[in-house]
Amino acid sequence: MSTAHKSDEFTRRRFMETTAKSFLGVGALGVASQTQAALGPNLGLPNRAGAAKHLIYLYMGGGMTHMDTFDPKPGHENQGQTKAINTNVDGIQISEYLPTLAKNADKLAIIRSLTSTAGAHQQGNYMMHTSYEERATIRHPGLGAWALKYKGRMNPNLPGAVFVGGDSRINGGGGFFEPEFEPLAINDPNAGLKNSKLRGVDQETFDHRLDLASKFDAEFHQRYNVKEVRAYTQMYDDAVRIMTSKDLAAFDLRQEDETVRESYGDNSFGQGCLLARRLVEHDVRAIEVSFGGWDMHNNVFIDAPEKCKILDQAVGALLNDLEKRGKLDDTVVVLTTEFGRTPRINQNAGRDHYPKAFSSVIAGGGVKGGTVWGKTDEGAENVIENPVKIPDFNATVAYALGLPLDNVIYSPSKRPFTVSHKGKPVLDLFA
Amino acid sequence: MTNLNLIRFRSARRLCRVVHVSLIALTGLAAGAVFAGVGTPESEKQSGASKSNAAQRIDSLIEAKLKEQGMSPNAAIDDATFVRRAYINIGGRIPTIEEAEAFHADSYPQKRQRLIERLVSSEAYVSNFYHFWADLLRISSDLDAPVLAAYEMWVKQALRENKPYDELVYELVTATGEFWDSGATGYYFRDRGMPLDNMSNTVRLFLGTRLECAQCHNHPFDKWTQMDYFEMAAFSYGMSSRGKNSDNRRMIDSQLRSERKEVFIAATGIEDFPTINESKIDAFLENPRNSKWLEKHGLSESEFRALIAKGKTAVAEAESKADSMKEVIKQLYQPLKYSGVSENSKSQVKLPHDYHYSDAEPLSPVAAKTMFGADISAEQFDNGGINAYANWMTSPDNPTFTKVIVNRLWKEVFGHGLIEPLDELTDQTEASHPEVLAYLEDLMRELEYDMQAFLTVLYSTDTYQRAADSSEMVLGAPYYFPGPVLRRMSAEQIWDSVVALALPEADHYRPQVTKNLQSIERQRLIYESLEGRTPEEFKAMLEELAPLVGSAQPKLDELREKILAARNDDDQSLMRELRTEFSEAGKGVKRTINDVGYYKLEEMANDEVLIAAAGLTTVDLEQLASQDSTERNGMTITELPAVLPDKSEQSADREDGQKGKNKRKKLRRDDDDYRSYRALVSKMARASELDSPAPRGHFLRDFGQSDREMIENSADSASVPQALNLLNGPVVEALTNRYASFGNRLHQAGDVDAKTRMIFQAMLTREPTAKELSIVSTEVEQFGDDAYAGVVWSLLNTQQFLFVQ
Repeated sequence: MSTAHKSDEFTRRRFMETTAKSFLGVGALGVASQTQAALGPNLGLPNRAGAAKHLIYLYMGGGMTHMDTFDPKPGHENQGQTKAINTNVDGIQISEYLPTLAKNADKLAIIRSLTSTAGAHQQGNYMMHTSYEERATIRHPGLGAWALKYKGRMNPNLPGAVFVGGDSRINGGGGFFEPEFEPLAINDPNAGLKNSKLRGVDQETFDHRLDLASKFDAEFHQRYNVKEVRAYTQMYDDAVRIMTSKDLAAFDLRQEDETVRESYGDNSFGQGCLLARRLVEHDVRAIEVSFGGWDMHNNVFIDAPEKCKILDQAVGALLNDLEKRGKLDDTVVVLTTEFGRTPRINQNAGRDHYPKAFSSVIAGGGVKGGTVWGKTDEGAENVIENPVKIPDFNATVAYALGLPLDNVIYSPSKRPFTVSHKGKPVLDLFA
Repeated sequence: MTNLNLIRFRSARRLCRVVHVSLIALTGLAAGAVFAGVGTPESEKQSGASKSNAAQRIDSLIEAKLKEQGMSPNAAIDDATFVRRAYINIGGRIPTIEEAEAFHADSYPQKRQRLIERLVSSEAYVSNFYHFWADLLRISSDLDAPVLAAYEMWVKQALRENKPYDELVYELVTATGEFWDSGATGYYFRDRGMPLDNMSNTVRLFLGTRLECAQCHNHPFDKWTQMDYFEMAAFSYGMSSRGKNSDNRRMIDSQLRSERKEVFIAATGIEDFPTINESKIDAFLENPRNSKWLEKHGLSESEFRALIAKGKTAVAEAESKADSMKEVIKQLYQPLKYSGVSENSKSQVKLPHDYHYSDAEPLSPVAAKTMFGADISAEQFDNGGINAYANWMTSPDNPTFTKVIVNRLWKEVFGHGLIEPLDELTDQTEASHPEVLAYLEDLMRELEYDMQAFLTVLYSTDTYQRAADSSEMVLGAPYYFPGPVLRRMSAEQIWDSVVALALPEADHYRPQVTKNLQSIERQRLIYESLEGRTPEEFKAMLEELAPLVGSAQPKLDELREKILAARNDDDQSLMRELRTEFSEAGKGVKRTINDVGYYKLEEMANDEVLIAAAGLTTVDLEQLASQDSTERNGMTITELPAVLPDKSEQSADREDGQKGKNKRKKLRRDDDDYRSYRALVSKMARASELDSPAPRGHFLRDFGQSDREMIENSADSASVPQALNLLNGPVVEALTNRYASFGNRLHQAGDVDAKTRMIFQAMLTREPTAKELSIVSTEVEQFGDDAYAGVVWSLLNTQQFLFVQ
């Protein structure tokens, strides 16, 4: 171990405090990989050059039922009332609840062989987002934060990572990285960036009052000309700049045609997907849109169609829109969840937690569309072909983004971590 | 039992101290006279010096070191700077105008000392230091709401009654019982299912040592081995936060088991038929002893197998009848799934399967052994492992226990530790001021871990009462304490400062306390409902519920079918209708279970009784205002007055000389202001009395309030959402609105000078300079009365508001 990793925590914290400006700062981001990252042992994992720039991560919170979405088993008793339909790719069938995605199956790489042992929501959710088991002594960063760490921010006026959704906590945020890797959280995609508009004053008054503030503060600034204070002056400059910047429009869905807004669906998830597309166009590196409510212990055949309807419309619109705008190759779109649901239908006509076999989808970013990877048995209970563990899945996404799978980054407590916990990417999914 | 006795024993040890402290309170003696005992001759104890000898001793050590470095201490701060700093650092918010005025008007010679003592024993201190502890203990909203509420209340109460630090740690580490009896059990609930991580956190928090790296292999940068790790883990591994073992549930489970057996036996028709699983049949038949049994009953192997199958089928049939019974039990006990912590002495930690050192085999059990300091003997351990562990940990002789807490509190007071980082002690660790650290450790032991007394000493030092340092911190270089480090207020301190300007008596306003008490009480009553029944009553209740729940099933099934049919017909409105009906039917089942199962919930005490039971009193504002702050040592709750201040009176004041139209306009504006004030303050209280941590996106979180995911996870670094909050967010209205505490005073103040002085006192706790007065008066000439709101907004957006000078 080189002594470079042994930076003591105090030094690191001071460094963070003085140079980090959590979403518009440049200081720490530009040099992050030199200060903390270091080449670790060669794991023999392939890295991909070039690759996609953006990540749109769509998370189905609660555990998306695999049999009623991407891994139907028509004719088997486990299937219940859900029917399978053909897609625009010969030989691939998905659930009848996803008609739009069926017409776009040529864009999708469907992975039907995910397998894990984390059967509780929080543990599964955490594992999927970070590739690591949840520990009470550390927080691991998510894929978006890793992408930012390695590839940096693209638009200096906007945050590098954005989280859209109402979840009370974010798994796979910035983790143990510096504060600026934490995603900016947007609860309601329709509300835009919080507090970014003038409140009860016109621009002239606003400017005048700002000027007044700096007059009142002049003496203090003279007395305390230190980094911590200067960081706040800088932060105000940045805040005022973004208020008038054209990039602020990235958060404003009202600038979209009504027909476009409708095409994504009039609901938070649909509008969140639209916001994700706008943010990609404004060069935001990583966006997660969270869509909860998949925990269908009861009445799965009543609830799944309704959830799927929203999902189908939003993701269908997103993929087509990205393609139309020439952004699909630049953007990896991931649709995933913590686990699948029990193939056997329970006494409440629902399905329970099932980490043993489940499905996820990757699209765009150079991934081969029209593909199915892995297979479950006739009752969708066991993976019988090409099992993909969660770290493998994340390695595949990281590979699509061109992140170095081998590279070790040390946490402040000096523990070594890699982007996908030594997972092996599914190379067959790439052209 | 052992546990309780030990606590009692420790309490007895404390008796002297308690008497000691109440004497201070009663006689109003300056702390100096009391603390003089530390390492000083008898004669000095009587001197009644203006500050404690302990504080003097610290100052002289700090000054000597500064001199050695060729540095001099910073200038002493004036009263205005002091009163602001003391209120922020101790009470967690800026002082109100009245509080600052009262301080300045005080002619008592040791008024700084007196203010420090008042503040460390105030509710404001409880609020402020709650965040300090919550950030260390990671008290997060991951906990179930009632457990969280009980844990929060426990920590606050410990701060309020100034529980000595060693007792506080002892009670956390040994916490057992139901959470409604012992909020400290939150310590184990927080790391439920992660006993190894819990140990790592305990060792980091209280012993300042990082062991977590040694969980998977020998520590790469320190001396700890993986074996050390598991030996330490063995102490607390048995602390389990599973649901309390329920006697009634056990009884019914065993009854169901024996019923199953009876059915099985009856189906086979042979009284001593072995109840074995299919998987065990072969093993059974291989045993020569059993062939005798087969012979005795004249059974062939295949007949034997057939009988087992027959028995299983019969059991399965009976099971389906028992399904609703099981469902009822499951639902009844659902709220109690995690309600208590107990020490399970049988659960023994084992080495991991991939343990690869030569001193032991993988998966072999590990015996508890301390990582340093005194050993714990087997007898001590057998008398209760966790108590022995906690006694070892919190002993004054533990090599790092005292060092860690004095350094933590020192850092909290001065902004920088004597050892940095303070939770990564190794054999190579050196303090910047070894003499100071050693002295502080002695002092803490002498004070018997009384944190308020210890903090009082630190705040009383000249070193604390000097200008915040204005030199650039050098990374990794030692800090010599010419004064405290210049720091930004914490997220909570910024928020609470705004709250204190907006609400009257903000420190006593607890809008969530009844809701929290109810949630705890509800759990207790559910528990008592189930466990308070005799086995017969319990069985009768289940037998009453099972058919009620069972009979709802066909109706639910039928509705489900109808909904599917409606979906196939794409009949949206019928579907909605059926879904409502369906969800109502489901709720009905739930209600039945509540009514019949949790009968005690009907006895739920009313709010007043709950409040009183928790040792709280409700006080109205007038009464509170008339009390001297030193008299308020209980925990009080204030209600926000319905109208505040009297709205009509205010409007009446404004009527003179105004024409009708103007008057109406004014009144309308009045109403708007009033509504906006009510809307704002409905979401305001001190951060410790809101959901804690605040939800994502809240002002508090934007300013770096810890999410409590990791130890010490709060941040005070700048981020754009912070500036946007202050520039365009609603908080400024909480200051300037005429119904807010400060806004009202400002509104009623006299001329330009008086208003300007008031604004500067409220926002910055100081007089405006001549230049500032003239700037404001120019503003007023230009913008009239609107100028004042502008000035408040401007000051809120200065850095001198945010930084503690």
